[in-house]
Amino acid sequence: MADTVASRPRKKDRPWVIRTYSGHSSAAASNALYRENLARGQTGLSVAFDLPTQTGYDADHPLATGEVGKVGVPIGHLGDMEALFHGIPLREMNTSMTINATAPWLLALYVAAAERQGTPRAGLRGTTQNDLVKEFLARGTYMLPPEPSLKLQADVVAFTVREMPQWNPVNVCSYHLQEAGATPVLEVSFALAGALALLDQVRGRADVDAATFPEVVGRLSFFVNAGMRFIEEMVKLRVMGGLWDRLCRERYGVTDPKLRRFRYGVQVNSLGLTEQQPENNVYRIALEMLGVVLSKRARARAVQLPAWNEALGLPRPWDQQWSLRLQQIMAHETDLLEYGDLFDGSTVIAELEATLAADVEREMAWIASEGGVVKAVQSGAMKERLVAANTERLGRIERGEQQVVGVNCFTESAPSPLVAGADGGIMTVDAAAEREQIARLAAWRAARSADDARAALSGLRDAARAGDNVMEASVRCALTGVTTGEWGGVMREVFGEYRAPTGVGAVSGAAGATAGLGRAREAVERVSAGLGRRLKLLVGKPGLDGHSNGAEQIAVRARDAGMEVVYEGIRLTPEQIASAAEEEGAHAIGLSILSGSHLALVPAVFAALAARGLEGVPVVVGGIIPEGDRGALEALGVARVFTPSDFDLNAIMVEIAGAVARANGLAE
Amino acid sequence: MTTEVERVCAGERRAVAAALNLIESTRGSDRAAAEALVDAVAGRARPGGQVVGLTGPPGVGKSTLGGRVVGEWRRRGVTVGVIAVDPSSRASGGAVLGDRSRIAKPAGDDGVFIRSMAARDRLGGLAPGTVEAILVMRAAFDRVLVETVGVGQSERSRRSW
Repeated sequence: MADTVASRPRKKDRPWVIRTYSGHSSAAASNALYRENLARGQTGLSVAFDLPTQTGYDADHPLATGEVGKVGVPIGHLGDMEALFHGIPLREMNTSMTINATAPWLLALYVAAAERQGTPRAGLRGTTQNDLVKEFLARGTYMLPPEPSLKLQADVVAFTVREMPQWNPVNVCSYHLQEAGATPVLEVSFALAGALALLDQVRGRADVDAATFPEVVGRLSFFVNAGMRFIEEMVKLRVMGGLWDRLCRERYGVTDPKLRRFRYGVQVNSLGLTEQQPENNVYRIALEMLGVVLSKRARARAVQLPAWNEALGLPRPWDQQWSLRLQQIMAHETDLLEYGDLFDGSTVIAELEATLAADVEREMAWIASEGGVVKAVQSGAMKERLVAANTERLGRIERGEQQVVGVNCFTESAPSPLVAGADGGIMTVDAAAEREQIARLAAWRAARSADDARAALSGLRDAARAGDNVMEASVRCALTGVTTGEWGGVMREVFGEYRAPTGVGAVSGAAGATAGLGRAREAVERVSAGLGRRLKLLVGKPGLDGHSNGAEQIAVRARDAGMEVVYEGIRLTPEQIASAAEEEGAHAIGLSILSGSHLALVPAVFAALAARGLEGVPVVVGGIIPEGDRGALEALGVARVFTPSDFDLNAIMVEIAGAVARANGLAE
Repeated sequence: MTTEVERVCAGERRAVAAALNLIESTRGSDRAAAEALVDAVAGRARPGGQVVGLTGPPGVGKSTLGGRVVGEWRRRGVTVGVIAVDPSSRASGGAVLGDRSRIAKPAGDDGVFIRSMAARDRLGGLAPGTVEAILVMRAAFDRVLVETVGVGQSERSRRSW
């Protein structure tokens, strides 16, 4: 019998690093989860930090209320960092940390923890995300204005190139741009432009000499997204690789092709995952993964997959395991890793590549004409492009031009047994986690030498003021027991705080193009006439969550439906929201919360409103709100709860107008 | 009416907000009350008070400058009222009023009162009711800052909606 193709032994390529983005509640709970994940065959760690840690606040800061341990692990000091990696030898780990504004600090804690484990800096492998441009544009966990933010990013680069040669100091992210609605053209061009802005900044530094600079370029890595149009996504990554190679060669004169390699990790798309018929998301995740593994020439170095239930709430360990198994099946059961590139030579792919590359170059020229990335962030020009792209995307789904199974077509479904359990198919963070973290923090502060911590902070302040690299001073702070909030406090004191442009003011919502807008306008006009004043809506984002896409789209559509909209951007305290509602004479308040902290934040907003005598103003809440929490919010007095399944924005406008009518004794 | 006027002049936030709501009302019955209120507060400007206007195209730094000025006034212990005027959409009549976000208001500071106003059917410049709102704020606060994009500036092509 002839030898069959299948029986021939083949040398397989090594698979990508297999990770799961995880962390919650406390360092000890996350440590247990990491050990479980490693035991199940994960080959690297990906640390999710909570929002206070990401924005440089201690767990007992007023802005941290309700956010501690929610979307990730709280790391307040060296003790937490050591507990997080207890029993996990750092010299053997490849650790990715999703940390940006406070990246210098978390890296300093990691270095200090490793030092105490006996691992030298040079032996550490991993990645700090450390990309601030996308924070201003899409993710919202920035702390300082753009210029000092880029300077701190560059501090981490200069430090790691010298001290930690195996570390990836920056993961330039296009991931969050796509989550915020970016098309492939915007995703690639904005990310590449951000990378160039950073490299230009590093090139001018005294502590990076010209001979080392190609190494700096070689250490830059990327973090991308991959959605349902997986052919287009694969093409995107091939194009990104080609453009990166050329930019490194032409702009920075890097001659070693190894140092021009486009290295990227990926988390596939969460934006397209649906709350309706959530079991379908398992297929979506598998298909999205194809875009980043099929083409060998543009294959991911590290892959993280979301869980099927991310539109419902936080995933449980089993949900994460289910996603982990998909990676292992793809890598080990299929023949994917046995062949060379499957698409070189395809005319279809080549044509798609040429079109995309030309569009990307045009977009990058536009950014340059706006004065470069920093200027285009400050003016809001790039943000406006993103908000407009997302408005367009959602409009297509609303109008049914873009089909989403279970959402705007094939909506008939049997009840899903996956969400039938007592937990509703999601994880709930124990409310005691915040209290316990605050207690640990107080004990930590009491046990350290206050004088040593003060001296280390003063050294940090001096280094920051002098424009020196803050890394060594931060490591000293870590070793003397300084806390995350104290480190962030010094940075804010020296460099100032910042609020990024919201990007919603100038976006055209393609008014009139959406069916149903007319009905929304009629409702708003009718209620406005009854009020004697145009209906005024205050859109607020309480807490530290920076995912503002939902709030932005509500603001744009409310404007298009004829409301006057006050939107102040992210990260407001309940007190600030109540005070704005009073000053503005708002008829209704819309709160957007995606971090899972709604049960703490919404009552706080109601209390602040009551303190100002504004109990009568109707409040609606939108976000990732588990079905089980709906009753609690309604009992509190919330007029209406909207979740990702409410994709008809015009219907939302009609409901808001109706709530205002009822609150003011008008006919709806 | 007199108690309302006295409360406005004492800088009571709820009374100021109610007065501004009244000024913006198009209801016939509210118009007479609004005019009476404005007449009553017109002569009650705070002694030594100032009204400062900031105008210029988007992106030139009005709000940044405004934020610094407000911060400095607060450091000197004077109360501040801010009126931020934004353009309206000609198609829908709606508006996104965003500029208050750029004026850094210290948390819990009730000595700053920011009101956004839509320019309604006017392009740029002042919103209808802005002058009346200035009169109310001038009676309620030591300093009044008025921020607008300026006549003609809202007609730029990017704002074509």
